[in-house]
Amino acid sequence: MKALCWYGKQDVRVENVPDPTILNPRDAILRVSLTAICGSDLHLYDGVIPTMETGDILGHEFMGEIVEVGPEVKNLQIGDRVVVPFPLACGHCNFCHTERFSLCDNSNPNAWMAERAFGYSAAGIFGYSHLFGGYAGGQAEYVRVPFADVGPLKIPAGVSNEQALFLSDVLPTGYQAAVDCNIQPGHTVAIWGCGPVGLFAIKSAFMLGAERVIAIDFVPERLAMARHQCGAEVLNLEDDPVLDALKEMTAGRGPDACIDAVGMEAHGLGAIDWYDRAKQSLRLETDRPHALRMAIMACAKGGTLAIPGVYGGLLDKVPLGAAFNKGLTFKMGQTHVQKYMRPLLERIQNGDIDPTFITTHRLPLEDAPDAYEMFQKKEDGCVKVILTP
Amino acid sequence: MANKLPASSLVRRGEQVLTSSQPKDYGRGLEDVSNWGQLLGGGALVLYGLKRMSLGGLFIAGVGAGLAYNGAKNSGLLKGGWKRMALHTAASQPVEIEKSVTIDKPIHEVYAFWRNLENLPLFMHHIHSVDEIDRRRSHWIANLRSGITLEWDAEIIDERENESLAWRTTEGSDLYNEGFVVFAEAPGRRGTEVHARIVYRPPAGAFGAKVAEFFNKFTEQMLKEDLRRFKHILETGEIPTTSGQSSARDRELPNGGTRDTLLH
Repeated sequence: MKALCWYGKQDVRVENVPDPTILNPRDAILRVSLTAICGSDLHLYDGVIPTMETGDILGHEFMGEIVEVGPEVKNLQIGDRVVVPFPLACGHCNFCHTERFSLCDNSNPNAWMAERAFGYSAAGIFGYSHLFGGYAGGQAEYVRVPFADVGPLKIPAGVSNEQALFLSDVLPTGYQAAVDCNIQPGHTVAIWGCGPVGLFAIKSAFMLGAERVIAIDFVPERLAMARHQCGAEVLNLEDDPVLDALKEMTAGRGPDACIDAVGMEAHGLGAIDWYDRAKQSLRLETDRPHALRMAIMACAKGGTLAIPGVYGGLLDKVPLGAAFNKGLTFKMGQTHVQKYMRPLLERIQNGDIDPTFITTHRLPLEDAPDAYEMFQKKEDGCVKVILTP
Repeated sequence: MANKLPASSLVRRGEQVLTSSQPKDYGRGLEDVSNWGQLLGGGALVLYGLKRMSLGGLFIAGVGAGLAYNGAKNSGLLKGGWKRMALHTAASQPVEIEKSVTIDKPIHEVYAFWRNLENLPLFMHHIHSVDEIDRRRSHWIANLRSGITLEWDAEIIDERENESLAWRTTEGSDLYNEGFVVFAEAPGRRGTEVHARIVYRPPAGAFGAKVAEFFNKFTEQMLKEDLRRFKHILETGEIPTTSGQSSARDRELPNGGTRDTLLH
């Protein structure tokens, strides 16, 4: 089959690789109908996530058709149209029992590696380095889906492939960030990053009752989407004094909740950005936390900071003193997709949200290497790339 | 069914059970083994770090040098005590390993799976087979990397249903070993805590070399991985794997893992 494989920093190629096979009784094989490039795939593309190996298949956002099931998968039939959550979850550990699926105890075969990096191992993730299990990803014609009796969600008639695709990651991820904000009537939410997760976080914040949402980015077409398609007020990082503006827009209170939908490769301004880039290139710092720093400074006293943006390691110059003295609450982590995909499917069905508005590019899988480059450079108004194998 | 004692006191009782008929004091030797581990491990890190010839590599080398220094210092090597240490790490010194895991299943299920000793090779990857001769005695076969097998008979010396299990090899075994496993209810209805303690004592003499190979492999991390697989099987019915999956590589990575290092 054809698959998008990682060869090194900014080097991905479509290669012919062996078809996947059932390896465990609870596995299924999926023929991929649609797959997407995630903003977090760019961290792999840029080589800032360790433990990638030459030849790894990428991709953790995908949906398609079941073509084979293992003997212990009783709830799926060949031919079922399903969408697959990006974190793998066994469904039977204490974390899965308490709906904290992305913290599953049993889905990372390389748990020892994650324990070395993080103390304890969270769930495995499709196509996201060996630290997170080394699972082959779904930017391919076929993909093996472990714990297929737990993760995949059958897509009802009336919901399109593309609508369902976004249930694999970005829609639940934006939604969980808004849930984590503990939004109360009258609240203002500020969101850094107007990529797919940020845009869905805006929509979700409104769905959960936010009075106002203020979105921050520096890419004009993304700010335009945030304003016109999601109803947010917007601030341009390059033109606006963001911290002052947020304070004035809220009559001195500050946003009640902030969302960092940017993560470890934030674009900053001025000397601190050079400092971060230099340290990151020397591996003295793994993450560039500009958005996080601003969000901490901007957040109102007693406010909540939700972090759906991915962080991988060690951060410098995080103003924890500001967070402490303002009594902030931090909520973060990989998304418990299995928990949110059903209620969000209902919201798609009843018309609360149509996630396909984020798609800017629909391309064949063969074009994936060019698509990665375009997405990384944010060329051609690229916000979301969907690939058809 | 649910036992009332906290796990820690059960573990202490296990120590009593195991040491009651073993008057030899091996504390000194254990300490030395751990220091040797630091010394050798630290030295290996230095070599590995230097081999990488990078900034990250230098960092690894630095950490390694620190470990090696610490190992040497604590073992008395720097104070001229190397002879004493060499004596203490002779092949007859036991190696003791303790690890624990929490499994989200009721105690009776966890206990029953372990008590059926023939299940053990399902998650103890260094054990090839366990045959139960009768309710108390069992025959164990372990595979070494070199293709040699080690065999021994073990006897259950203390058994409390749904609480604990202790066993010890019988005389004439290739590899003296004993084990004690405690099963205790985890707080907050989180299933069962399993505390395992294994002691190995390789015999001196003819078997020394091949047995050394075995117990060098059997580290704390191995016991941890054994217990993790035990949890995987009980909670999910399978052991997660990527072994045999697709990639653009000709050959699989060792252990489905990576050659990379987290430190770069």
